[in-house]
Parts: sequence; structure tokens; C-alpha cells
Amino acid sequence: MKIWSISNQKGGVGKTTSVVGLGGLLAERGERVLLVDLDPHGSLTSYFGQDPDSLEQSLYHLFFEQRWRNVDIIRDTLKPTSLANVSMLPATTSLATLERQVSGQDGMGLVLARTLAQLWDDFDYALLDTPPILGVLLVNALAACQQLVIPTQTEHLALKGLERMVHTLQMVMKSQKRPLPYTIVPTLFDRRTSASLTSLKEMRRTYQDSLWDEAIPVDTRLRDASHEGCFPHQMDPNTRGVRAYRHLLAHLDQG
Amino acid sequence: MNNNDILIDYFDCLLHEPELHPKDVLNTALDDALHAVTSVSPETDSDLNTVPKTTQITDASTESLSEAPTFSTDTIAVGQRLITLLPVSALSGAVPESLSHVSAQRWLAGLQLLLVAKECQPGRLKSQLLSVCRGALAYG
Repeated sequence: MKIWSISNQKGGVGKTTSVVGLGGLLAERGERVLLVDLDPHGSLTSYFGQDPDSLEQSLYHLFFEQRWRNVDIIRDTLKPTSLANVSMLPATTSLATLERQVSGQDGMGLVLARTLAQLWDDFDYALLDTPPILGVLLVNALAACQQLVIPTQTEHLALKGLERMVHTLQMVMKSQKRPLPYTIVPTLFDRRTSASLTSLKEMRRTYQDSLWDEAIPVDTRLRDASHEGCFPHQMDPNTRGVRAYRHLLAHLDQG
Repeated sequence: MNNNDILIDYFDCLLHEPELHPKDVLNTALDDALHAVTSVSPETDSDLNTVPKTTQITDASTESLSEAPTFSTDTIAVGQRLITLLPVSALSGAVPESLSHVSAQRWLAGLQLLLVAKECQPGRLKSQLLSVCRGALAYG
């Protein structure tokens, strides 16, 4: 199983959209895909018609009583999506309390890695949608993944978030004593605005080696897909956003 | 502490588990083993003195146990002495590296005795055997 974490400590940069966009395209080529919602807001969970306020089982429950050890419990927690070969490990709003409950306990950053290890043969890819805040859930994602994708909105404030994310990543790598390759993905790019053009130029100057050399454009069809609860390529396989995600997928596959 | 130090401490806490002391590992394994043995059936007192004349253990590594004499309840009650009477040559198996040689022998003897206890019918004798096992293994 390949595990990619889609993370940024800033919100609204296109993390969930990227998870769904990439996950759908992986499924299109026949891969078995697991989407994991680590965000207490439950955007990914809501995307596929589940209610993060009323679900009885979620990632939250796997943190307690060593439930991640029981593969049947994990499998029972998974939810279907609009594609048969894509499953989702949903979030509930209770995840917001996780920090207070487990952050003082040693090893609690490794629960997700162990959960995914139990599902190793069930899926070809796992894509992790992380919360926009540094905490136990983001640390779990960084500890579990083999590759990090950092969507970054092409606007000035997002660059500060990117700087913070890369700093966090460096410290996690230092703590884990292992390198973690990462790709910065410019998102919500609108070539008509000077803010987009300026910030993209700044990204290229600062993060030359890690920056994907294209960008995910603003595309209302991506928003339409979320409204319908389907993957973007199911709605329109040739829309600009889907084409961009195809290119990104090809790039990440090389990594 | 500056900001980075605080964050590194936080990551270290979340990403590393404390190493268990060998005795903790042993106790956990022992609890699991005892649970497995005792959960076979509820105990009764009707077969108080039922001890197998010879054990049914066929594993080559424990073959010498079948030659061990049977013991009265009184002998079992001072089981620590019983354990030391078992021939060292009969002992085998993995030994935690950090245990001393003597402790390792005692530990293995305890495990051998556990196998004997497993063959016993449920009853007070079995309880005493298990108690001896626990003492020997925990002492190691």
C-alpha cells in the first residue's frame, strides 16, 4: 500500500478536493483506494454523504482500547463512496477532543500507521485528508505516510502557512529519523489575478526543488462534484481541474 | 525552552513509545499464558489430587518432562524447590537477553511447569501449580 498525506496547516487550500481528485483518478485506473478523513470538520466524510455528527464509528474510536489492533473493527468502520473500489475511513466531530484525551500519551502518533498496517493488503493506496492544525491527528498522518503532498493556495497568506508546514515536517523528520519526500502543489490558481501570479512566482523562488511545476486551476466543476457527492472525473473527465489532477498524479507516481 | 524545543518534545512523545522493561514483557506474556490455561473450563474440587502419571507432551524439547516423577500436593506447595529439581538439560526456549542465566533457568522451568499444569484437570492442585508458575516466572 502506498500512503500519501495531503496536508497543510492552513485551511481552505484544497486538501479535501485534492484527496477526492487524486483518489478518483487512482480508482479510475483500477486501484483499490482508501480515503482517510482525519479532520474533525469531516469535510471528506460529508462529501460522500455521511454525517460526522451522527456516525457511531470513526477514526476517533480506533484510538481507544487498542481497537486499531482488530482488523474486523477497522473494516466495519469503513464507508462506501460513489465508486466501488474506493472506501472511506470517516471522521466524526469527536475527533476534535482527541488532542486533550491522548496527546500526553507516548506513542499516540503511531495509531494511524498501525491501523493502515492492518489494512495493508486490502488497498493499493491510502490518501489522508488532514486537519489544518498542528496536533495529534496531523502528526499521525505524517508518521504514517510515505509521501506528503502540500496543496498551497496561490495567495500571499498561504505562503506563511506553507512555511509553517515545511518547518513542522522538518521537525517530524528529525524526531522520526527518516526522510519524508514532499511535493508542494499550487492550487486555486487564477491566472487573471496578480495575487496568484505573484505568489506562484514566490513559491518557485523559495521552494524550487519541491514545487510541482504546474498548478491546479480554479474550476467550478470541482465544486459541482462535491455538491453531487461524486468524484470530479465522474462528473466531467475533461474539465481543467481533472486534467490538472491527472498531471499531478503522473508526477506523484514518479516520486 | 524555545518554540522548537517544545515542538520537538511534543513530536518525540507522540512518535516514540517507552521501551518495556523485560519483566513487564514477561509478566504480560505470563498473564496471557495463564489466562489461556485457566480459561479452558471452570475449576472443581472433585478432582483435587488428579495428577497425570506422565504428561502427554510430545514436543521433543520437553520430552524429559515425561520422565519427571509425580508429586504429592505437599510437594507442589513448595513448588519453588520443585522447579530447581528439574534438570537444566530439559530446559530450552528463547530467553530474554537481559535476564541473568539463573533467572533464565528459573523462567524456563516455570514455563515447563506451566505445561505440566496444562495437563492437569481443573481443581485446587491445578491452582497451586499455576500459583507456583506465577511465582517462579515473576521471580525471574
